[in-house]
Amino acid sequence: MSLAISNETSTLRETHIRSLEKLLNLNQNVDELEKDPNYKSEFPIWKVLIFDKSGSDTISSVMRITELRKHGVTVHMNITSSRQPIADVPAIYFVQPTEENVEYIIDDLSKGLYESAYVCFSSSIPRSLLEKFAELASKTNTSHMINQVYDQYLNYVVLESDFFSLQLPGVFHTIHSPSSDDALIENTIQSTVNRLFSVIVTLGTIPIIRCPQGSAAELVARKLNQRLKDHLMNTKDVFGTLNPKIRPLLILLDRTVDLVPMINHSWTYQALIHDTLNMHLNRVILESVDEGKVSKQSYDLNGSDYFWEANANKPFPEVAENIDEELTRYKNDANEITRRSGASSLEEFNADAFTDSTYLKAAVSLLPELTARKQLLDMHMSIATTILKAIKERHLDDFFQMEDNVTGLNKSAILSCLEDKDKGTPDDKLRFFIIWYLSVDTVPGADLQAYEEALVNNGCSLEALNFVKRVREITKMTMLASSTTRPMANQPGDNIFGGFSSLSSKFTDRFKEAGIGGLENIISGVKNLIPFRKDGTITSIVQSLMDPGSSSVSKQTESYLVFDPKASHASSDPRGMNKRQIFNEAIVCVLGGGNYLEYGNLMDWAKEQNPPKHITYGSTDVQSPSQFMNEMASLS
Amino acid sequence: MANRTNEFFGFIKKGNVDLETLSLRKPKLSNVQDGFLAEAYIIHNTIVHLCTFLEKIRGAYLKGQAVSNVHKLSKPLMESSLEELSKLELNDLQRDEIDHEASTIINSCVQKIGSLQKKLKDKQSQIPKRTGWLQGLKSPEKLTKSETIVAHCSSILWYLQNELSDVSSSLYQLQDLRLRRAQERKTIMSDILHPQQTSDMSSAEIPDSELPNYFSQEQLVQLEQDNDLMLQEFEHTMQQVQETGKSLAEIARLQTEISTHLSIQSTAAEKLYEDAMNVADSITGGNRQLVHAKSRSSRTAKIFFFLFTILGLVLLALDRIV
Repeated sequence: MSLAISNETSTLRETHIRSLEKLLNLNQNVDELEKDPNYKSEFPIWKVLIFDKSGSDTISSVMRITELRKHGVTVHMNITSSRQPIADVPAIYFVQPTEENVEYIIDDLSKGLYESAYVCFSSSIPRSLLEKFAELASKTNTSHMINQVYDQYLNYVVLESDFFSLQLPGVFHTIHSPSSDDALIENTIQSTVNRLFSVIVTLGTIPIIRCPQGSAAELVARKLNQRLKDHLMNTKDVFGTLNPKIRPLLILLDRTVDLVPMINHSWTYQALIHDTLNMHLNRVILESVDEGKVSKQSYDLNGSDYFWEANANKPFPEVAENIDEELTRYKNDANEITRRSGASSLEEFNADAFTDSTYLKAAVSLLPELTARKQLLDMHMSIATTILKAIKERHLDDFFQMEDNVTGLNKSAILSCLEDKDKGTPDDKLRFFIIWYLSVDTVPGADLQAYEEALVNNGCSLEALNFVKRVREITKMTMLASSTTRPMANQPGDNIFGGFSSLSSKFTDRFKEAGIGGLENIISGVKNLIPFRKDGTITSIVQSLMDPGSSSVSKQTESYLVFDPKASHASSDPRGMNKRQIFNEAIVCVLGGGNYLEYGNLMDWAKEQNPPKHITYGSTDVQSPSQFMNEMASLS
Repeated sequence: MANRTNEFFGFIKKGNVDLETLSLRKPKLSNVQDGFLAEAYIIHNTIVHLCTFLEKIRGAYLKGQAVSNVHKLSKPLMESSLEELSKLELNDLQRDEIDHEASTIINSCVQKIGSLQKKLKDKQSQIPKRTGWLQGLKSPEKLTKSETIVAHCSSILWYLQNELSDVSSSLYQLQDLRLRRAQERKTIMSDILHPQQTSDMSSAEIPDSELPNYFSQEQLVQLEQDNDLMLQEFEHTMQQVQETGKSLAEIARLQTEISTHLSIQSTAAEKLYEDAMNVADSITGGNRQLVHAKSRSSRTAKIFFFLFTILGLVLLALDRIV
């Protein structure tokens, strides 16, 4: 019953995957299994995995079918689908603890679909429902077919190594809508607390909680604090393997602290994919038209992709160059092998052609790796090509440049952007305008009218802007921190872009080889930009809380409440806390929405610190800019 | 995570269910009914056994000495414990035997998996294609069941091939390490027999014509005998290196074959799984449509019934009037 042992170098994703692997191995200790393969022979190797939608999202964002197979899962199906019996194999159920799911399980066992059941609820099953489950099992004489019942605390999704989503859409709307009643808000807060509790359990840690006063974050903080206290009292061994010295800070914030990152036009690879290709749960679907037929190709971007891990948070031009370098490296390696074997290409490679076992060994081990590398690079090429097209069509580079210097723009510059028919979709223009609107101090009424007219004339609907007007004063108070500017670390001067023309020609050549032509103009038109990285508002807040002496924003965060589940006293007064305490680990959760831009910004800041900080970032839901715009529009 | 199993069975007990016949079950592995699955477990246990043996014998296998004390073991190599095997010292012949035995086991597993593969293909060919109006009359549930079973068996075969690939890769690495060490010894011996020319000639060569001046006749004979012995040993090592090289090449080819099968199996398993899921989805969708249609048709049937009854009554009435 022990949790994953807290290890300060483990990311949330590594710990999350270990928990999932344990689940797939019938909750045996996976480390022991690996040490002694004979240990396996006591338990069934092959099993069927049944999940609901939430279980499916949790698993599919970090594991592929191959990994499931490696752990003995032969078939995986949705609990609501019509399923056939498979004899002599047990079933692992990974579902939410609901009455409906419990009835499905009992129904399956009554029909004898599987040999037995290992039931793993994604969150804690309430005692009353567990009792009902037992009652149903007794009535149907199926209790002897149930081997295990576990609370897995895995009802959230991990997107990147330290980026989680609680998969609760519409939280921003619920909190800020005047029509939300108390019961709805209460349910939303409770769901948020349940899922955030699962994240904390997975991390195996008891954080100190900080949040601003008088906000939804405070409601969540209080409930979570109580939940942690209760859990510590009732199940003492759950957190028993903790290192008591490492206690991270859990920072809870409302989305209204800074709305800008949610709609910013960003230049990093992952933010661009999310914005232009609607990446969802690490999956991207690209449409291509071939001789009139539209075909869809889906790609997974996850931790096993070495190129993605290295380039996700890098600016797009740098990523393009890196793709080029990797392709060159691949070609050199492939040529080396084919040269030695005498084959003209890897497809004709024949192991028998080698007489020297040294080369044979190198070739045999390299061949699968080369094939996998080629597939990966082809995928990134396709993705990069699609992004380039979107940048060209929507002039995303112009928007990015303007938003980077948004306070320096005058009325004519803004109007010319809004009225330019070729530049961006109406959504892009509205996003840009809202960012400017939130960044400046005052806007004369006549000017605002002119802007609104220009927006309407260009197809924009002003609902999102109307909402922003309402919350502008609140947001502007907390956005003070976002004007801090720091140069990006290790920037190699102009070297990266000194050879932009060679970059564009190399990249064009690759596209030609890949059969994609006519993109010279696209690349030459795309501006070459590496921004100075600014600390986002949330990054500044996190800095001031983790390292109080170093930040100018400390005054704003001094009044944040403090909750310590381990403390015997019930006070939330920040004055009781040691103001000089420095934290090296933090969990940041934003209620109402999060995105890759903020995540990337936090990660960059954390890496630069000495010693480097470890930050886990997440939110109730991860939304693309257009999704968040729709949510704001629904609140007008 | 938190284990709620005891709490669950506590509730079961409260419901007056006899818990004595209902212990926290160990999964049933001994009496697997399905022949395919039973055979798969046998293959799996063989592979695990071989894998464990290779881990235990690794130390003795890679040791440089060539002394044999295998007769001291009371049991066959494969059955011996880690402690016994770690004290063992093997000669090259025994190492070759281990290679041969391991390769034989791997080959037999490849063949057994091949025969399971054939059984699966036969099963798959018996699934009728979902084309033609006649197929629509056959039970869709039966079709889905067959496809699900085929997808399930295909994943089992993938697992076995993956496991086999890992163990053959371990064997390959062991042999490769042995070969490299043998080659290193060969290089050292080669250096001894043919030392490099140095600029400082003081301790180096003595011309052959002047040898009798430096050594007595007996010493010369002794040196020649030593030289011959070293040459023989060198040639023997060369032979061993070549033999190991051959078995290495063989295991590499086996490894390539298994990897190819694995990648084909992966593609086939994914396709089978997708087919099974598509059919299952179609069945679910079709069932929903049937339920809707049933409710619609029952209403329609009632309407028609009343309509015809009324028409019949009207006709009767008209007939009477007329």
